[in-house]
Amino acid sequence: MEKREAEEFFDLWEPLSSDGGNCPPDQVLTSAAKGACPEEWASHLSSCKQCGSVVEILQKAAQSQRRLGEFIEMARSEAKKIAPTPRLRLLAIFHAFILASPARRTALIAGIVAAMLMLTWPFVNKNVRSPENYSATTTPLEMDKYGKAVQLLQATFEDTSSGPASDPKFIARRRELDGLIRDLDVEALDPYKLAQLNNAIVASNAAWTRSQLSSGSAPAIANTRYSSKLSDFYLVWGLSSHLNKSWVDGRNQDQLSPQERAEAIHSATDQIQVVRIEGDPDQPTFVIQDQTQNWDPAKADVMTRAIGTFAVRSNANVRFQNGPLAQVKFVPHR
Amino acid sequence: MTLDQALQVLRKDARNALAWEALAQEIYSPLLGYVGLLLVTFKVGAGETAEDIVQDALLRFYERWPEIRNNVTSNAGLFGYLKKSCRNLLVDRYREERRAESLIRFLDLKFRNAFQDEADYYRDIFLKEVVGLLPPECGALIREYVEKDLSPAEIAESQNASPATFYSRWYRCIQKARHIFLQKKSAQKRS
Repeated sequence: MEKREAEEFFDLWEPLSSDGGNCPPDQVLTSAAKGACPEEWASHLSSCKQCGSVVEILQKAAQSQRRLGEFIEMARSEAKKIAPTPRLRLLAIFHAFILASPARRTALIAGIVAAMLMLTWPFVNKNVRSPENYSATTTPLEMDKYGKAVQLLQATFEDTSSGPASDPKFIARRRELDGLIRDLDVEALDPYKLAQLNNAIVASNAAWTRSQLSSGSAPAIANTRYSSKLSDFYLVWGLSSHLNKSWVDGRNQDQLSPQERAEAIHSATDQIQVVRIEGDPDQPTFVIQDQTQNWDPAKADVMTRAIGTFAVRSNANVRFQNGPLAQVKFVPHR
Repeated sequence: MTLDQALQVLRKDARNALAWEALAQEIYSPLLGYVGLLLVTFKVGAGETAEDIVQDALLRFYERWPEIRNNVTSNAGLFGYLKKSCRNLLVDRYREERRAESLIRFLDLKFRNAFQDEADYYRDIFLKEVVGLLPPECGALIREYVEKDLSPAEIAESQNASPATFYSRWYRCIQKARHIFLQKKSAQKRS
């Protein structure tokens, strides 16, 4: 548009025709042409010639659909010219089919989710399901020398709560146990079994020592009565130490001075965690957390001694959380 | 298939016939209403002309789609593009016809085009002195015209008003602005 003087610019605006003062926007007219006229515009549309003309144009176009049909036909023919590959055409048809309605889309998503679940169910069932389907079960120990030793240890552990430590049956069991443990081929035991055996020995010793101490009247740590019993305690304790020595090849315990060893044991006792207390309040059993599988083999000796020391200090029986005398494994239900 | 879905398909497959059909079915009537209302309001003939314009606009849109598909990202963008296309076609079609003069002015008159080199000078006068003296509704309208450099038709679209309604309002405002403007100009000449 060429440059104009201000007067000319304003004069270019012709007065508005008298008909079009308050016409609705074109969306309203489109709706009216489809027979869905908003109520607030009904009276205007019935009286306004301009709007009536537009509605008429729209209705006429909707009835004939000639131009719209031409455009759609053109789009179809152009699409055919491109001649898509069968795969692309199938994809396009599939895409159009899916997008045609929300219901189809929902059905497709549901189908995909169901298929994924079906495919992954065996994996989920095996690995991800809640631990409710698993339970701690004890498995019977093999009755080889190791199994027999552990069984005897369990018996001695139980003896301490059923009768006096001076009972001949109890003493006989301990001797038999000593022999069995000495004959054990420690090298052949896997680390877990070895740890379990150690634990069983420690627990048995602790229970036995506690029984010895409580059988006297107000035993004092430093009195001769306690000292004599203490030697019995270390009779078997020493076997435990022997096992550990074989296990760690003597490296750790030989490198520590007596002072360092005592400090290490003292420090380790602080790490023992009591999970719960069982039995008679006067003769309690401290159930401690079983972390033997996490032990550093080089420190196993210190730990087993620490547990023994803890038992004597606490004047209580001590047993591991999962029981000193059985292997505990999580076995899935069938 | 909805309009959004058709656009989504066409962005991937520019010549998908099903999507074009869905798109055309959705937009044909609103565009025809828009063009028809413009023509009827400015009394330059309607009926077949409106259909011709929409048809041409759709064909051009179809041809250009592969280039512009990433720029048209929504329904509003699609309608904006097509309405502008229809407006340009109307201008082309009626530019030489005397009877369509008012429609052409309504469609393509922009402040910058009207005053060209002196647009900045007049813009200052409009904004500082004329707009402030106008009633608030007219002031806002003229300010949008001057500052955003939109044509009256584009302002009408942005306000979702019919051409007839907007033209009436626009004319009243421009008359008031003219009155103030001429008063100022004569005062300047006297001084």
